[in-house]
Amino acid sequence: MSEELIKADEVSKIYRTGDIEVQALHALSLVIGKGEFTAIAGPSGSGKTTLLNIMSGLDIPTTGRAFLSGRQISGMRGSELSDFRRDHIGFIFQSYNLIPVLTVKENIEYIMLLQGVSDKERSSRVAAILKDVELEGMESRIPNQLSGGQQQRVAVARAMVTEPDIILADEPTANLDSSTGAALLDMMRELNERKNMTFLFSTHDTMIMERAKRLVMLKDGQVARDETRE
Amino acid sequence: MIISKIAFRNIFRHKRRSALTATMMAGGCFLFAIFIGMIDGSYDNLIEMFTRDRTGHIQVHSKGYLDKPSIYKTIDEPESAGDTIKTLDHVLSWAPRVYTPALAFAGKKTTGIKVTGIDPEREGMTTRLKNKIDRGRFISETPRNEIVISKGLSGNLKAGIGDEIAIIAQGVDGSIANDLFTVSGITGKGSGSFGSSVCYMHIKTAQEFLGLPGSVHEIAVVLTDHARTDGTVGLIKNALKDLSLDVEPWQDVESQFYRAMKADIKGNRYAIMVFTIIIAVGVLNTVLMIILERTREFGVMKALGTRPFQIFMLILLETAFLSVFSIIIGIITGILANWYLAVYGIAFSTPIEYGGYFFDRLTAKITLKSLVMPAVIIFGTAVFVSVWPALRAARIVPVKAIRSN
Repeated sequence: MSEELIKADEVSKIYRTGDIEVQALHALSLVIGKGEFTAIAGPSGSGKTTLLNIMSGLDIPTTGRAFLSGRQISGMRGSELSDFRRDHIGFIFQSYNLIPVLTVKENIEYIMLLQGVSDKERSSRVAAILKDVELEGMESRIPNQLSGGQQQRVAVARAMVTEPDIILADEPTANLDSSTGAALLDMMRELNERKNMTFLFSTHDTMIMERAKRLVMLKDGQVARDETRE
Repeated sequence: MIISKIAFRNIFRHKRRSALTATMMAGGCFLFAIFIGMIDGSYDNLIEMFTRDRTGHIQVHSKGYLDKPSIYKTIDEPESAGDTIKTLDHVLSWAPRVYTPALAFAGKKTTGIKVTGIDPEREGMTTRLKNKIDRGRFISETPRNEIVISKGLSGNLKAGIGDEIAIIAQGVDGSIANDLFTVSGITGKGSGSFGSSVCYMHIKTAQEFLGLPGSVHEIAVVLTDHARTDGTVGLIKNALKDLSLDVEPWQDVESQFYRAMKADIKGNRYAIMVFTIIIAVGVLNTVLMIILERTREFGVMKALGTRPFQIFMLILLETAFLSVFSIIIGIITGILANWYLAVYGIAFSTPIEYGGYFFDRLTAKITLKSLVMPAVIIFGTAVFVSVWPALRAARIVPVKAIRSN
């Protein structure tokens, strides 16, 4: 197995609503290595999104620990956590979630601006990533001037441009038609292979499962199956 | 930088809502500017009337005269003191005065009066007393046994122009001073309360009558601008270098009037508070709407690595940008309105009486306060009420926010 990047160690998550408790994860342990192209799949309520959220520090486990790049992300709070996410994780959301008042270029360079990357460096990275996601010439458009597929490409570019340790994608193709989704996945797979970037998907989509190099099936908050293919 | 860019562009995201909020803030700023301009203008007008009609801006007396007046508490070299005062910056003119209580007789009528000896030439340059003659004429520059009395006194004594009035007072040597004086004029034209006991005569006549040659009880000083009063009091004290003299601003001389005016101004603060609360509620409503609508967006921004403080600043900056824009509009329109009121005013259908003075029109004044105070209040209120919603936005939990619609 490649270098360990993410580790979920006996992670449990219980959601409480009044007197009702729902256990989303049951002492789940999982390791994701660098350069993997992994899909976490499973039926609704199996804990896919919860696992992704805990691994990215967006949510806190009830018990257990989550590590990313050797640091316990589940113990971080406030600005430390914000800075860690900014510098180590790229996010791709189901609903694209671009900042609507920023142009394509500004959306892509948003994280770099938070990091304080120089103008020159930003421009060069944005130019390169726009080429990778095939959005050259659209730098000045704002999100509502783009199609769903184009917006998701911008989201992919935003997630990748800082070359984070891992890119977490939660149902990235759910709002796209099948051909656009397939093209986007092929592009991500190609970037994974070319740049050795780590991708971790949470999905229902068979297209993602088919393209994943590793498929982790969850059921009732536990790993039901974990298979690696080439 | 990116946070301020997002904040600025967000203003134009919901144009109608931003326009409504901006209109409310600009309207508030405009109303504040006019309100303060009118308060400043009206009181300025009142102070000017009050000081230029009678008191002057500063008065010089012998020590303790103002607290306990006495014909023995005199300024013995008024010409020298007056000439020294006249050389100072912002001093327009000065006028000496002599005072004494007396009894006045006309026919079968008797009443207590306050005799004021004035220098007609200097008084004419210092106060508007000369312009207040309703009937007859002002006191001639040559000392004679003639007096100008108030309308009230004329009514009490049933004495008119040309009538003779006998005045009895105590001279400084303890003797009874008495003489006959002819009424040359009756004062009380226009606004200003002259009461029912006012009697003016030539200062030299008064000095001779009381046995006070060359001495006066008061030097009234008028400045180019009443706002210079406090500073000039110190200048006069330093210039006269006479510890036996008191130099007092009009606020001390007419402390009752000044206190009433201050209380009135204080009352206006409640109106300002009500305006402020209305604006605060409006802004709070808008900012809460922003937080509610953009919860998901804030969650995404936090997930991407935006610090809580940056989200907090984003909200404050949005409010700050909108309020600055509104303030500019409000202040410009406020200046124009205050300028119009200062130049043309708005005529009252019936003159309004205040402190014995009558105002026939509403006026305003463009002052630094009428520009700065509304700006500070609007900006401060808008930013202040945004702090709580901004903290809420900064504390948003990304995972919950991203799930929300």
